[in-house]
Order: sequence, then C-alpha cells, then structure tokens
Amino acid sequence: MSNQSESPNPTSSSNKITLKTSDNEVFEVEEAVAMKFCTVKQYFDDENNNNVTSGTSTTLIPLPNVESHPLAILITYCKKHLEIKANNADNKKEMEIDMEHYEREFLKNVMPQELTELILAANYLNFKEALDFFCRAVASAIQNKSVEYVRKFFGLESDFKPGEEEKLREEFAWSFEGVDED
Amino acid sequence: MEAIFSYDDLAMEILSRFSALELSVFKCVSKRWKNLISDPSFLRVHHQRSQLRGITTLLIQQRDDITGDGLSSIFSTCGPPLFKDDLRVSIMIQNSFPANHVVIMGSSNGLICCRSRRTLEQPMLVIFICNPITREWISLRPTNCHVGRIFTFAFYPFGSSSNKASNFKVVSIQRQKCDQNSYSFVIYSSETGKWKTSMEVCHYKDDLNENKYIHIKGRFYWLTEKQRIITFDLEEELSGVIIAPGPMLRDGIRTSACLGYSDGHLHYAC
Repeated sequence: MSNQSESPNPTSSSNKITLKTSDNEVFEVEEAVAMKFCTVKQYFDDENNNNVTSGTSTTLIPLPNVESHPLAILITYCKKHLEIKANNADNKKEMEIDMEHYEREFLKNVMPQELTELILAANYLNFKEALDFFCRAVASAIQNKSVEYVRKFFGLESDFKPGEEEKLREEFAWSFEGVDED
Repeated sequence: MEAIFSYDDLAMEILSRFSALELSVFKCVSKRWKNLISDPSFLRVHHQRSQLRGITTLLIQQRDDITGDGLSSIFSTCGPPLFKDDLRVSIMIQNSFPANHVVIMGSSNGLICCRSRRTLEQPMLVIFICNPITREWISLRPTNCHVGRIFTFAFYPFGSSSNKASNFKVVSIQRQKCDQNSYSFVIYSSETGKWKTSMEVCHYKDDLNENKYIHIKGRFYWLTEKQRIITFDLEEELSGVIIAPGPMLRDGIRTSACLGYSDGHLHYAC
C-alpha cells in the first residue's frame, strides 16, 4: 500500500518537526530529537500513515500536557544525549563516562521543583532515557534518608493512625540503624 | 513533589530502585507508600529491576578451625562502595537465625538457606530458610528420607510454570546407601510441605564439592572434584553429567574453580 521511496526517511536528521506546548509555545526540533519522545513518534507515525494516500505531511504536533519550560530542558538533554552517543558510537564505556559527567553537571542546575516537572513531562512524552535519569536522581536524593526527611522532601504527610507508625517502626527497628540523621 | 507520587507507575519507577532493606524504612512514610511497596505488581517490578542491578550484598562466612565444623559463626559483608547495605545486613543475618551455629548454604531471591552444624547436642540435620528482612524463618527436618549435607535451594517469588504462588524447593544430593557409585536426589517442596526421594539416580562415582553449586532457571548444577558437573532438572526430575571445559587436571579441579551465572548462561571458572 505505502510507497517506501516517497515516504520521508525516518533516519534523516535534516527534517524538522514542530512541537506546540500547553502554553502555546512552538519548538522546532530535528526529527532525530523528536523521535526520542515515543509519544511524539507514535503521533508522527500515525499521522504519516494516514497521509500517505493524501500526499500531505504533518509536522505540527500538539503537546497539551507539556509546558514549554520542561520541554526546553528535555530538548537540550536529548540533543546532548544523541551527541554523546554519536561521538562514542563504538565505545560504550566512553559513552557512559561522558553521559555520567554530563548528567552530574546537569543536576547542578536543576531545582527539586523542576525535577518534578521534568519527570512528569518525560513520562508523558515517554522519553525513556530521561525518565530513567530523573528517577535515578530523585532516588539518590532520598537514599539512606530518614522517614521525616523523605516526607519533607516530597511534601507528604503521614496518614497513619496514632500508634500504627510506631508499631511499623518497631517491626523494622533494626533497619533504621545507620539511616542518616536529618 | 508529591505530584510524582500520585502516579502509580512513576512512584514504582522511583521506589523500585531501592533495596528491600531501604524499602522497609520507607514503608513508614505513609499508608500509600506502605501499600504500594507491599503491592504484588510493585514486587514484580522491583524483582525485575533487582535482577538487572545484580548483587547488592555479598555474605561471607569465614573458615575457622577452632570451632571444629570448619566455619565460624561470624558473617561479614562487603561494604561500600561495592555493596551499599553493608553493616546492617550482617547484623541482620546474625540476629535472624534461631541458632548462631549455622552454615550458610545459599541464597535465592532474597531468602537465605542454612543448615545446622553437627554438634554433640545437635546431631540431627536441621535446615533453616530465613527471610532476613522480616526476620521470619522456618526449620525443616528431613523425615523418611536419606539427606546428606549437600543441598541446594531455590525460591520462586512468583511461582513456577505450574503454579503462580510463591514457593521454594530444597534439593539434596547424596550417595545412595545401597550403591556408593551413584547419587540420589531428595526434594522438599514448600507447596506440599513434604520431602520426597526422586526416582532419578545419577550414576557417577567421584565426590562433590560441598559449596560449589548453582541454580539457574529450575536446574541445579553441582561441580564435582573431577571436572564434571552434575545437573538436575527440578520439573522433569532428570539428571545428567556435563564435562567441564579446560585442560584435564590429574588431581581433579583446582580449589579456586567455581560455577557462576551471568546473562542466562552457566559459567565455569578454573
């Protein structure tokens, strides 16, 4: 049904795709970047399949659940990710080292509130590498921390009935040994 | 930040990165966290991720000639930076067992299997299966069967192919009483709560190494002293003998030789 030679080459990086955020900002990104966002890729592929017969191509993709601020950061992260991958195509170890270095620097400029936005955006876009990285970052922020610290960090309230929490703590008393003080 | 935790999949994505030990602390954060951490679907995600993460704790039981049985009751664990659960785990293990005088036989998916030491007061073999996180343990006493001191243990947290409920099996391998040139297999299943001598017999005359065995996907492998590996398939109850690779040594295998598992394959180091 579809004619391969006429459909756009998905690996070509010169094609641009336009993304429109919930706050009506428009981002023009390279196709290679946009295709890392699985939600975008899905939309793009579906639209293209529908349009093969009519001969038109869709390049404006609405993202009603993503704001411009996290999207801009995700695009930067994605570009860097692809760049590091391309630079170390034949050396996985080097690639991991470069990526780790970049991610460490990246986190220095991210506030906890931003991290939430980024996780939600990466989750909606289904950008796996970024989601994994941000979740790792959140996990390491509460690594070996006390229950009180974790509650404060996430803005959570204890909803245990009086006595319930004490009982639970008693049960696992030994596992609290060695947990960081606040 | 609480927004993240209103999505189950995101909460799981983050919490599945912690060890079972750390999660027992996080159960106290809120009811929601407690329920999430105890949820079977979370356990499955956590289990998958733990397998990718590899070893988090290495338990070492040192040889000690003074106590007679060859092994001391002191457990040590490899600390950071290699393994992060460090001291808490060894304290935990130390305090978990009903008797201090146990010999660790193996671990499988978070459960630890030990046996009693043979002493004058305790000449009978007792096998302990322990969950170090909850500190629960059960003891097994082989009845109506001939069980030696070499046995292996496999825990299936999500069941085996025939049954989806979590269960464990203990398989012991020993020379047959009637025929010293063959081995018999005795299986304990937590589903039936019974010991059963398998009909399978492995005709092989050389000795086994007490602690050189591995369990991979329903199959056990024991390294013998003569560069052979005895296998036993739990489901089929069939045994076999594999010739280990490498040059044949006249005095049998080196003491450093061992079996291992990585990426779905059995490994042999010599």
